[in-house]
Amino acid sequence: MKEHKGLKKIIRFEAVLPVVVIIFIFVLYFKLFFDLHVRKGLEWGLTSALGAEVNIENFETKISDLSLKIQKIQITDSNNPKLNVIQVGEVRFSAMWDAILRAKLVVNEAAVENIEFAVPRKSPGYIAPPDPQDQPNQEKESSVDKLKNQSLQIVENKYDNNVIGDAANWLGNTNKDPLDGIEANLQSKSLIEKFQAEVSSKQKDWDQRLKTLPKPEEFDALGKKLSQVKTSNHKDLNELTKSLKELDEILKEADSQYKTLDNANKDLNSDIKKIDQDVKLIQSQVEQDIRDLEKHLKIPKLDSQSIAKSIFASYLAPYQQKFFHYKKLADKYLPPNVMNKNKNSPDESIQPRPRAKGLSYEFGRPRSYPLLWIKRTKISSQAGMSPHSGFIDGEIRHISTNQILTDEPLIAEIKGDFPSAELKGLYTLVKFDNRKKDSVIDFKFSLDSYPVQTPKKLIDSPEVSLDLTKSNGRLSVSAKIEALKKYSFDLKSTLTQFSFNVDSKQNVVKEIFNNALKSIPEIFITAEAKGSLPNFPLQIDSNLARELGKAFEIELRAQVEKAKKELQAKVNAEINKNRESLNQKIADLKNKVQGEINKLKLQADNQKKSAENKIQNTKKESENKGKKQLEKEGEKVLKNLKKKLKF
Amino acid sequence: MSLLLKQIFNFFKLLNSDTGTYQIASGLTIGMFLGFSPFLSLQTLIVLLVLFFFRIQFGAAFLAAFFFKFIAFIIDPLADILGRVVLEAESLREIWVMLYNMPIIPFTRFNNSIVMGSFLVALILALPIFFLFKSFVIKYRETVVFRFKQTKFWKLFTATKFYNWYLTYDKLYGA
Repeated sequence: MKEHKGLKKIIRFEAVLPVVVIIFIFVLYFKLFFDLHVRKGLEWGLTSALGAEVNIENFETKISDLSLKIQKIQITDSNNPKLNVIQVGEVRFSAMWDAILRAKLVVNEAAVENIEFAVPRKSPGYIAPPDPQDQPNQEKESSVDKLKNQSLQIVENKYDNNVIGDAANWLGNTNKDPLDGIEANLQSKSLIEKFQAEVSSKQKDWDQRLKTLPKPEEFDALGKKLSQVKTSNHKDLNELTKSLKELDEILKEADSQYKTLDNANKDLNSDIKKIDQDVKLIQSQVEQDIRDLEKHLKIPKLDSQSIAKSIFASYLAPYQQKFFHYKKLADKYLPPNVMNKNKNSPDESIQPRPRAKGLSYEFGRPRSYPLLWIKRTKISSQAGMSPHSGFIDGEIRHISTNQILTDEPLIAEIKGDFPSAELKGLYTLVKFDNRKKDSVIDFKFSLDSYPVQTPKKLIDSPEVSLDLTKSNGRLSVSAKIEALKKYSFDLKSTLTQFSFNVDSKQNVVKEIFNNALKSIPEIFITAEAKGSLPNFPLQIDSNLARELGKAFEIELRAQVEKAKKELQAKVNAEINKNRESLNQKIADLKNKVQGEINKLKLQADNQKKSAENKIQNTKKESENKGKKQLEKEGEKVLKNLKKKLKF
Repeated sequence: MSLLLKQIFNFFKLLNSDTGTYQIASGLTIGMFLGFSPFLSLQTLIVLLVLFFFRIQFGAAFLAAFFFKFIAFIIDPLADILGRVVLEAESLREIWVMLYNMPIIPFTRFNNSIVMGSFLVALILALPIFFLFKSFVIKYRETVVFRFKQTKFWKLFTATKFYNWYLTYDKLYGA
């Protein structure tokens, strides 16, 4: 071991040279390889993030003025790897030293030039295979994935939900027996059978009960007994009392028999009432059976919404998918703000940002730099530079990682025309405001004229197919998302100079389509959705759907009415066989039992009344007799009194 | 690389000698800071410059950095919690805001919860670790080295020509 003395004991002077060498290597690296490595890194990173190959032709940095120039950025079209979805000629900007010293990137003005779309690539670009995590998996599926899958299902389930297909099918199968193979499932039929058995059982019960009721002979005997009771010329009071007692006994007996018959009558009425209710139940079951059969027969419900959905769901699905795609990106890259305590505004002094490891906080203050701030990006392009270039004029203002610090929302406004691609009047406005508690994203996009990609299959069912073979379009989309949850989505698309190819086994269907398409010069499609994610109920409407709806409705209404009548007739015929025998049984029960009871009841009633009359008469007679006797006795007493008093 | 290997050999030589106890202990402690710091940060650069220009045992520092990198990885969740608590503390907010907006300081990445947590762990452990390493080196020399030097094998080895040749080489080219 060497012993060092003086300053050398503390400072390692021999390290100066290695440090200088290391610094030199660093400088050399930045001079020779840094740009190349960053370019490769960017290509790799962007390819991984976008899932499609990204190429950068040139990447130049300059430390002295912190400038950056990126040339010819090509992004492969994930749907067509032979094309670049977008190609940017040049991006350049220079950053501020003041911000860089604070580990922030602030750019006063950036420029993006020569933007081209759908440029053929020299060689097909790499497209990343789908991520296994994005495969449908109910446990891992996020709400956005669910939404995306929902929109795809609209297209996938077209055979199930295709009302046009159902309608066409109906028009082609009108002679089908509506009860074919389903008679056994008629609830009303089995209900009648069950009810018939009940009525038969009731009939038997009543037959038994009739036997226990008082017989007509019993009433005759009671009548005889009544006629034998002396009701006049009673010798004395005792005889009168005896007659009255006998009459009272007969009356009680008649009354008791009357009550037995009355109870039987009440029971019978309640049974009849129940039978009537059951008959009504059978009637409602018959109606229900008809409704069920209508469902079974899939009588199509034609409304313009269903027709529009049926035709344009596949046409609109890519727009829906794009909406969900960008919503997913927003979820990932736009974390919610941390709010000030007791204040309804975001806290500028602390904003946590999740990173791969731990949390990185931004401790800002008013007018301080955010981590990234590109104040203005000028986008421009001139048509004619290449067959795929166009006029583009626009700017993006205030791209930043922390809007609370800049107090500026991100606004991107781009206008353009691409004559070579026949795209005219392109306008995009994106506003992203994350300065308040809830972020607000406003999006507007419109295109005055564009050639629609054809051929496009709109309906593809075994009954009917509809292909858009040629068309121009006009498009306007606006969307607003608040707090990445509440949304409104509005799309207006117009198809002009179109031609369709209609194919169907049924000529009537072909005719309906051709007539509807001839009657409208332009097809308007509107799609609206409003609510709260993850629900996305898209309301689609179109004048073509309305025209088709009307034509189909007229045709189908006649067919459906015919089918319904047939169905009703068939069901009635099936049910009526049983119903007739049931009605017969009910009528038998009513006539026989009730007639018998009524007859007996009349007899009992007569006997009772005659007993009551007799009692009344006897009572009156005895009263009159008593009165006369009393008068005579009175006169006698008066005469005796006069004699005694010598009047 | 050869410089680094030479430094590591020197560390073992120094460890088995009778001198440089403070040098080894400080090297190991600085190494611990290096292990707990993120690779791309200002503090790593500062520690490396300190190691380069000050006569701190380089090998000890790198061995400790290598070892403590694993420890740091294991205690990352704890460091994350500690970092969050400190960075979210209302009372310290003004300091963090000031430091975050100063030039150069943000390159330390102190605003990251794991970086802050690990730095605090390293700071808390610095003094105890320094004294622990110092006493460990002394204990090691008293027990292991002393006993080894008493063995017949070592005495036999020191009597060989190879050992004498090594001593001559070390005098001429050793650090």
